Amino acid sequence: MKCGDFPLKSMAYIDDEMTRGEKSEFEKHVAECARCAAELEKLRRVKKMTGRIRMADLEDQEWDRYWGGIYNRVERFLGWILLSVGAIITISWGMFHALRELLADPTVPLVVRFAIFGVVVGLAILFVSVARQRYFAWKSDPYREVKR
Amino acid sequence: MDVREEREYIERCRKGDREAFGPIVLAYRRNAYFTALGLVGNREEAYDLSQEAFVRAFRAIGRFDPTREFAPWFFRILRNLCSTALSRRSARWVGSIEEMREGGREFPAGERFRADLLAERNDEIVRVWSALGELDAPSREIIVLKDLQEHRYREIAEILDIPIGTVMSRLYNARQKLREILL
Ligand SMILES: [Zn+2]
Repeated sequence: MKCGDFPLKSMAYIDDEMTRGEKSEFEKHVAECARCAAELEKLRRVKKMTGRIRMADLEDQEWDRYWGGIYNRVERFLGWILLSVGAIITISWGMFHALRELLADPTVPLVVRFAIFGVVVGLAILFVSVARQRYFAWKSDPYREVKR
Repeated sequence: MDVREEREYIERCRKGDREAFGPIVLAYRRNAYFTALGLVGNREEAYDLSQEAFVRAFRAIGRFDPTREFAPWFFRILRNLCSTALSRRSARWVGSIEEMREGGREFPAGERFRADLLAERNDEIVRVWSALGELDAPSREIIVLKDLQEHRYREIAEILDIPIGTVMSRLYNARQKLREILL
């Protein structure tokens, strides 16, 4: 082992992530090299210090409402999905029938027919544009795996 | 809860059984809360972020590969949520950094990494805890995962989605920074 290997090897050594062979090779170097030995001592002290941190636990009543909060959020999310899907289907169906009736009615003037055409095409363009933007934003989101 | 039981509960979750998620939450909630607390240093935020991580995990459970371990997958979700929260928070402060520098004031760390979040408070531990709060987010998270939560390198590599060599070099840098502050 060389001194240049010290940074990574010292970590594996103090975190006990070495095989027996690696360990004795490391110990042999440290026994002969005062600089690495001094360095190792300091890093060990740091680990000892951070290892003593114990965070305070929550109160029992906070733990009691913990699961309920999760359950509610999951349930509400399912509610939102059902509501949105249902609403989209219902509204589309209603609009489709209303339009068909309007267009079949011979008393509706030509201007209104053009207006209806404009509304439908406009909605379609907006929908495609928003969907595309959302898709690209999702694709480039570095925390996408959060949802995975 | 052993591995076999955990798999059974997860299998039930995958079929949409919400009740089966209860024992999974019970098994991981303390580690989830403490991990989040170590990362964001604020009690309310850690409580909320750890709950949100469970909600997202349940929602995504269909895409979880049940032959793999649940813990690293879950802690990865949690860690990503916490880093999003941290980057939002620093974005919020961008406008006033100049102002704070001029006034010689520090980042508003006063509300985070407070001593009352510790179970045991002596001068040295409080000093280490606030040093942890001073670290940059990547250094802090590696210390939290290794020294506070005692994950193995292999698990940390999976949670952070980095090679084991990078886990070691980040850990070395983080411990050097702490050493400068503390020793
Ligand atoms: Zn050496």
